[in-house]
Amino acid sequence: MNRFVKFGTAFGLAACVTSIAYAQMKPEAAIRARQSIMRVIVLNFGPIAQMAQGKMAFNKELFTANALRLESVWAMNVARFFPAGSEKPVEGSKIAGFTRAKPEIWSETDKFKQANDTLGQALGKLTAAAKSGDEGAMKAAAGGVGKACKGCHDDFRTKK
Amino acid sequence: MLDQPVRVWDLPVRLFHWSLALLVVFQFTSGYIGGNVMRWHMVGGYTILALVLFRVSWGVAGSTTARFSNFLAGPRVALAFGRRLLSGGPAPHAGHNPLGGWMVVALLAVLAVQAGTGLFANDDIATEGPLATLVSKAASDRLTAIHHVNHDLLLALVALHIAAVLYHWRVKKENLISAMFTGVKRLPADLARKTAGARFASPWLALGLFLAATFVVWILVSQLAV
Repeated sequence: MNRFVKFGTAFGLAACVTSIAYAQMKPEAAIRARQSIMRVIVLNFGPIAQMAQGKMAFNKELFTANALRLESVWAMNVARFFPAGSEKPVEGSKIAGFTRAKPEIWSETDKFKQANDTLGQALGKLTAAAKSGDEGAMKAAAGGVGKACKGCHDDFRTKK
Repeated sequence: MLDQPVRVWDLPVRLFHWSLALLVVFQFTSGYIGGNVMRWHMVGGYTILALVLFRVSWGVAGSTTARFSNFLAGPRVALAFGRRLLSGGPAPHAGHNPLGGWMVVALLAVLAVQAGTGLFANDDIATEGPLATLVSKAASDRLTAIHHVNHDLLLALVALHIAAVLYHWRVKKENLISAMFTGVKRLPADLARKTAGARFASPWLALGLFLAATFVVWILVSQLAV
């Protein structure tokens, strides 16, 4: 019985590890996924930041619509598209060399998670502010989102 | 040799120096923070560009000690001065000394590059320079890269500049900082006599040149990319 439990546990663990390994995305697919999400984030955040910085007339409906879309996009959990091994696309890929993800994403996982959470919280504040309808709070929250973007880019994205 | 107080820096040079210093500190800070303050980072950049343009014109048309022709020395003179600076004795100069003169030019050039590339830069988030739309994304990215590398160069030059001023103050017993506030240096009698011939241009001319520089920058950032 004892040996059976030991063997079973070991086998179960091995099976888990194998299935996780098989379930992992191809690096190229992961890179495409996270970059697509980033593009949609920028498309929605752009007008919000322009309004917050006074470069575009404030439009509450547009601001709110984009903020709510950002909330949905964030729910896609972009962090899961950074699987181990996706620091570069596979050899011969059409998008070889197309990622600016730093290796620190995989060596400083706690710090990366924290940077990710910081943006999640900033976006939470943005939607809360949008729902409150207070223009000042909305603009301030937009600034917080911009800072969170930059904070993560500074640490985990290679410079141009 | 009795030291005498001599007026060396005109008001435009002093105002230029300290407003530039404050703006550079603001630019570093706002650039690091990001977010909505980027709006003011851009305004700060335009102002620095106008200040640099003004200083270049003042270096041609301004007071004696502000002119490039007064403080730009050849490499041999600069090296000889460097050796004198590191040896024991005092090394007073009425205006910019030969090494300081090259620091002025280096700082102006690096600031011009920094402000110039900033006009075309983008941060991939929500801020881009007013002229970024005039060039391709790839070109804007390259200019952004220069903006980042040049930032480090500027930081190094600023550190060297401050270190040199502190060296003059602590080791050579020359307080260049108070001179940049009051415009007055204490100089040995013979040097003071020589400096008496310095001509000071009208501050109204300086104001006119600065307004002209501001106008040029305004055209650049608000009319070109429409």
